[in-house]
Amino acid sequence: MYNPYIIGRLVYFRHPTEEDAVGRWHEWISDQETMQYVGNYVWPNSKEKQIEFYNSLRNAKDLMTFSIIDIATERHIGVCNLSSINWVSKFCGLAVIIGEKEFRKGAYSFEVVSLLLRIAFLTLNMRTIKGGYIRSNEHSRSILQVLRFREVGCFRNLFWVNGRYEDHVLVQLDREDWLQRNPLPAPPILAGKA
Amino acid sequence: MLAKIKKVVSMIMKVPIDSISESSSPETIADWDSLHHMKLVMALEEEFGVVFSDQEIIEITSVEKIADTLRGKEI
Repeated sequence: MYNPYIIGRLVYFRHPTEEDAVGRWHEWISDQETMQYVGNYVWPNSKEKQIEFYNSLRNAKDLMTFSIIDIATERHIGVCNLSSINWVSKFCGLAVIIGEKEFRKGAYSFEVVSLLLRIAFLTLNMRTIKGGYIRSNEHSRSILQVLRFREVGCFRNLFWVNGRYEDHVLVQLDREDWLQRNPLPAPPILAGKA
Repeated sequence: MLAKIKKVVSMIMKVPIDSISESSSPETIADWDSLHHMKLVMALEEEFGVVFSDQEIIEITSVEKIADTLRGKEI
């Protein structure tokens, strides 16, 4: 593993590198199937644009971006981030792109979101994660449901996707709800004076 | 318990219950993709009245592992 930030069972996250930017990353962003549910991202991408984005990460204060690496093969299979981080009110959004299509099976996507939540709640001390999905995106909906995100609203017919307008469903997960499913281990009992 | 797990797997993955064994997994059931894994988790939680942790959800990728995890919850 190179420079791991957090390690799961299937994947680990690390800071993106320039090699990532000039590798397959820029192709994923151009792929319409990959990006169909990502907020009307219709622009073709290029290596130059990807390097520009990569360079912008250096000064980002409200965006934490990770490269997703498959542990078994050490392949860069996608990117994810915690976005719009509000350090005062302690909430943020999240986004995941599994660029390499063969890794969209099994529990890869779920583990990526699960690791992002762990970073948000336990490392960054966020209180709430806000998210959303386009109503026909059954995959995102099912992951968010399993993770106990609560539906808190909806923008009707907001996004133009595959030839029709679709609702954007808004969801939220609070730290207390997350902790119910992922309780913290008891703190160690330290020997010594009281 | 195993019979109930097989019933749920059969229903979610839309395969005959007779074709499901303890070794059934995403490698042996074509429809066991990421979406169906999430549906399976929700169905198992409802059927057995349990809540899986994130770690357990990542690990229950065969009928045998589902059974082991449920046994750990004293089902």
